[in-house]
Amino acid sequence: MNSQIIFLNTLFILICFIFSLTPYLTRKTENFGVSIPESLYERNDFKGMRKKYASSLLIIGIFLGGGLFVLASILNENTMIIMYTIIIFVYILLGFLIYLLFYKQMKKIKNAENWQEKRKQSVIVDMKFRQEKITYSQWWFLISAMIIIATLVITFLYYDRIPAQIPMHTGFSGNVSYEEKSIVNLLLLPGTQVLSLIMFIFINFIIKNAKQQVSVENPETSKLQNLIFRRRWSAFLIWTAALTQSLLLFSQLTLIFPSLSTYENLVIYVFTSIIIVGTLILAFTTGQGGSRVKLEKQSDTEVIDRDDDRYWKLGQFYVNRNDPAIFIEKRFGIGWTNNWAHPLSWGLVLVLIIIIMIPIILF
Amino acid sequence: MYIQLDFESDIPIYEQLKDEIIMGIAKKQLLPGERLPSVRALAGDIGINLHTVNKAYQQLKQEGFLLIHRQRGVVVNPEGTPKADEKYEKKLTALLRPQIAESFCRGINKEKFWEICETVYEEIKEGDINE
Repeated sequence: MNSQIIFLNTLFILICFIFSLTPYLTRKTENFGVSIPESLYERNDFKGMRKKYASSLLIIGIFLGGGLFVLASILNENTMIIMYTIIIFVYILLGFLIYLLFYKQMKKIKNAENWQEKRKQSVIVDMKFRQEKITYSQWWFLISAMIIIATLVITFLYYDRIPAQIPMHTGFSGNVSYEEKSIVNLLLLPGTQVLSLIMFIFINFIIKNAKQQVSVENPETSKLQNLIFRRRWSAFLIWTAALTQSLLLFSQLTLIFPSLSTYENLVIYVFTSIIIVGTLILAFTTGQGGSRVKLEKQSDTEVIDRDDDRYWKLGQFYVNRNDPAIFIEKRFGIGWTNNWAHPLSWGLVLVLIIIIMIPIILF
Repeated sequence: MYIQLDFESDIPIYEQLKDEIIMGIAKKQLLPGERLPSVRALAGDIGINLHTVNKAYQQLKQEGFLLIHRQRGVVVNPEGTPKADEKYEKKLTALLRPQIAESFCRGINKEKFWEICETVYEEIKEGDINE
């Protein structure tokens, strides 16, 4: 079993971990995609549902992860990579089906109990929210841009020293095929750098412009939590971008100085681990919308946020024609999602597909 | 400065929005020259149609509370809200008339009516202490 397979399997276990614990990371005004009064979040039957979801996903994860280790000793590396992709896909699908069971159960409970009846439903908005420092400046991505420039400068300075045959990786399998050195081949990695940087800048833009979500039950606290949430992810994004660019710079350097390639796996593992562990720490300390950030709470139990469950299809897909907002916090999970009723959402999906297709078509 | 909108109320959303902004200006939570969110940003944050926000902003502009610049966006009138004239006094009287009539029917005497007016007026004058 080679180190890459071990690394990918460990990665799979970490992914399982975060998937299983998702119900604990959402805002406390939601349980399995259904909005609830915050005061009910700790109810025993809800706690039980979260526990059941987490344990079933963990068990499935351990089972599939174990299967991956067994398969790794039987199958060859190329088949293994395909298996790995299939198993991740199966896991996500199973997770979603289990989620749906709990979502249905939650809807039943909600319909039976009528929480909204006694409370006034309203929406609260801070008129000065957009004057706050919501994210870190896009200028911070200059660090990443400088790394890209460095990559290009080094490539052209050492162009003559680059071996005539350069290794072009075929997937993760570790099998290396060689190709004739050319400008196009050498621009593959810098091209990836540029595209990924554009993506990072765009995500930072989303974090800044996503819908303001202040809870009527405790406006001041939830606003602060939300600002902390956005700022932390923005900062994380800036450094993740820099790490990603450095990693790609290193890969480019191994083309120029083949002796460096002995360290290549190690560098990839270290960088990926930093990014993944960072994501986990941030997800657990901050929670969705900053819900895990501990702040003093005021709590108004006379009012409740306007119920928008009918716009959340299956509790996860936001479709609201009357809402001009494009980006909105996810209901179940960490991060942001789209308003699928907005035509721009579909435009973005198209752009994303094109970006993914470019390298496939070109190379 | 928070604005709170009640979606089950009989009062249309654009009117609630107008009332909340006027309250903010009265309580000095929104100062002359201060920027308000753009139509698009506010509509997105509240989750309502652009036209609703636009309608509220346009009416507030007409009444002299806001200015809408092409470049600088929406700002609270830097010269302050225009002082009441005869026309406004007439409008105010017309608005109060049915309310006074209803209070009268329900047996609220003049003193009680003054007391209510006084409380609200003072509350606005002092601004919201919690803010």
